[in-house]
Amino acid sequence: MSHDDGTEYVLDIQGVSKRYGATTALDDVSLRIIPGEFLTLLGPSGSGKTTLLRLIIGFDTPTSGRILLNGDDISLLPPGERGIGMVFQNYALFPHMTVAQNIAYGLRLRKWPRRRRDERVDEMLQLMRLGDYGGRAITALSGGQQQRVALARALAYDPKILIMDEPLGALDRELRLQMEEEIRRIHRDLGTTFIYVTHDQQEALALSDRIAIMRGGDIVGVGSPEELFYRPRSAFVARFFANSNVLPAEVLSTDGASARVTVGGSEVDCAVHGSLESAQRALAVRRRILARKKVTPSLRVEGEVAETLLFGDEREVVVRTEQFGRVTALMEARTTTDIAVGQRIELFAPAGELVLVEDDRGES
Amino acid sequence: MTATTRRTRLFDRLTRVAGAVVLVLILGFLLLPPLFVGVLSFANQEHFGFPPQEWGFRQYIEIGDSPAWGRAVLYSIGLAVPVAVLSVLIVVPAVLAIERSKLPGRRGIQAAGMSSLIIPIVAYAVAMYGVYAEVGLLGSYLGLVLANTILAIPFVLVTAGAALSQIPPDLELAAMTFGASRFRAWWQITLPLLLPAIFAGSLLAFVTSFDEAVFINFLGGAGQVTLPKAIFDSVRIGVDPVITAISTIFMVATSALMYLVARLRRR
Amino acid sequence: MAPLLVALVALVGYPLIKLGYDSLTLGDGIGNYVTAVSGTAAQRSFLVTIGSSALVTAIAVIVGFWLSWYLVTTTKAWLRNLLWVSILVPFWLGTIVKNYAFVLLFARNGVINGLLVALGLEPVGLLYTPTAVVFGITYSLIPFATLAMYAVVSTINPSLVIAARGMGASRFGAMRQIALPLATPGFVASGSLVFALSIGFYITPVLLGGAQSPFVASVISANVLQYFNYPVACAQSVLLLLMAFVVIGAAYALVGRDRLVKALA
Repeated sequence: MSHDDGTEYVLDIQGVSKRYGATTALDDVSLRIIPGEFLTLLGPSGSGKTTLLRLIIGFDTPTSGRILLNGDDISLLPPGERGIGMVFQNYALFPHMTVAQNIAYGLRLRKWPRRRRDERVDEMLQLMRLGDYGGRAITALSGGQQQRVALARALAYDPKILIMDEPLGALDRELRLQMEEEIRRIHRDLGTTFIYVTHDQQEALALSDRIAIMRGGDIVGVGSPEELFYRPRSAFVARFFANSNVLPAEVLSTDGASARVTVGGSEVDCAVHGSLESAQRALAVRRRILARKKVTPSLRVEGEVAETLLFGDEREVVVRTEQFGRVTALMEARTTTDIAVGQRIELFAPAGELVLVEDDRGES
Repeated sequence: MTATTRRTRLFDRLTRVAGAVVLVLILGFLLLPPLFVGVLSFANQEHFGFPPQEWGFRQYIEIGDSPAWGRAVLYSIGLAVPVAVLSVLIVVPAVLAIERSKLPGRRGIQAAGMSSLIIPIVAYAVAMYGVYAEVGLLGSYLGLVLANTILAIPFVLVTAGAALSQIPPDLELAAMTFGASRFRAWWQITLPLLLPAIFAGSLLAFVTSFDEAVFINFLGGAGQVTLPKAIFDSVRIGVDPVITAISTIFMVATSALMYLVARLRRR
Repeated sequence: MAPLLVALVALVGYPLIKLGYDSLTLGDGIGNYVTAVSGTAAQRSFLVTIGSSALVTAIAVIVGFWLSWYLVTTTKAWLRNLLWVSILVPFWLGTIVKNYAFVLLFARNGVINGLLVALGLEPVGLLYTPTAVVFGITYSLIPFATLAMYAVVSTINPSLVIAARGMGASRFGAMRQIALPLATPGFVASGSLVFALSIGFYITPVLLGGAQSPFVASVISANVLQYFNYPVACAQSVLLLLMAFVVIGAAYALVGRDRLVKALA
């Protein structure tokens, strides 16, 4: 999609803030969304992701800043005039209408002629693999089926963007995995821009092209799942997104791409991604890179096993160390059967996998 | 088993039996009076006495012979219908504001709406008497409609409020994403879903007005004889057995209405 | 919200304010209150009303707890249905029908005396006594008491009592030490509600207490409708209202508005 005014973004959020009285729900947030991408807003509750969503869809207007849709300022437009579709947390299907009537609701308001409307409803039912469910009552559907109807309803009038607000929260695990696949397929088939809101990093990892991580009314990291997972910039992202260990570190020297740091008394080389603004630094150590096999150069972690938890193929080992406090490692379960609570253990994290990040843990 | 545990067990069993006995007495106290009325309505007697000597439909035939009862019923219905409509018209917009808006004091207004339920009714009746005497509504039809409406409001408030709090606000927001205005979203989505509860509330309002017996004594005029007023005046004088039959019909009718209300509220 | 606000102001707020104003400005002014409570008949009417209402409150609240406790704990569907029916029957029976039912029971030639005579006993004068009035009002208010109590009792986890018994408490002890303390807000909310409603009862004192019944409600109605002594009726009404406000206000302070509103709903 290209535009005359030179923007290549379907949605351009420019310095948007939202204040409710004295509290700031959203603080100068900027985010650009590329046509056709699957972007996830990920953050714990209270991080501002719901506020941002409400501003994008139009249930609220920003206190300052603006939101452009294909180059047009939509900040103050009512939701119905924005051409953005939305799937609600609990689907918000109209219980007094049939499946087909629900899907056709937006088309009816847009005054589509009846024949075209019926065709479109059929098309959506096919796309969602709902076959001949058109005449059913909403209350007669399972959770997964309701989810599909909600998707069909939101997509029926071909919105420029589809927003999904924690759509899988109400489903049980197995169905959730199935729906994740389904959502990926629909996104591929339609090529519509998706904005997905969730607090679950597994979901974000599995679904997204890009993820914006939110915290305290601000976006603290944007990038592909790989970037955020393997090359985080901040301690918060490393911990929230990858459950990494974050160890306070001091920089001795740096050449831009790598740095030499002291951490817990030992010196080690590590990777640096991008510029690091704040003075406070920390070393992000992913749980999975810690192993008992000695490698050099590496960070050595030594301590007493405090707890082990079997996750299936992997086992989480919590180590109490004198140097770093608690450190958790995630190891191949079959290689850890001999690890017992209380024993001493020595682990190594290869220096090439260590990432220097901003230590923003003190902020809230 | 030690002696103490045996004693505890015996004590427990006694407690349990005592609890059940009291429960049976309570249930009897609650259910027997209306049952007596129903059974005794089939006693063929001119003056009330117990036990009756003869059974039959005499009391029911008596109602048909006296046009005054029919007139009283019609007058009561004539009051209760506008009360039902008016209380719904007053309460439904208020319930929307209470449940859907963030207006300050909305919970206070909700509590105030319930107040007519807890004001000692005789004091309230005197207060209304004073106002009606001042504005010339004593003995007027309009005055009774307004007075009964204020008594009916709490019932509509509770019924409609409970139902509305069960309808997710997201439904209206969803409709708005498809281009519906706020009013249209409310009209096409929330109102249809609220309708059963509104109807249930209006039935409760109807029954409340139909049953009203205190205000009518203070605010009603000579010609204004509702069914409760007619029964009240009759019972004050003596025990006319025909009232067993009227009461029985009254009970059956309200039971049917209440059953309907329960069905509507369950939807 | 506007129509409701208008209705509440015009038909609740204004009448009550006017009542207070009239009680102080018409007739003998403050003297209305002196008249309202002087004389043995007036004093007796207040004493009888307060005493009867206290008795009604005690009975209704205990019955309310009893019924709610069985409602919450029983596993038998038929019993639960029966309990609900029993609570709702007096609620929707119709004011007049309820009271008429008690007239039938208590009348000189009524059901109870009929049974007494059949058993070879002497008939007793029940109708037109304060006892009859207490029975009648209690009957009408048990549903209110029970619903208010149920709002609290239904939040008590019955397994707490089972746990207490598991730790060695007797059935009675578990109820007294666990269930009753947890139900205290229910007793407060439901008791204040029942008392406030009870002192204002009009139909029951007149029909079951007789024309000369020594209840404030009958005195007030006679003042308004027979003696046209509206100012004194106002003063007496204000006294009733004050009693209700004090009791409800105390409950409000003790358990909070939400519990009270919930007790009503």
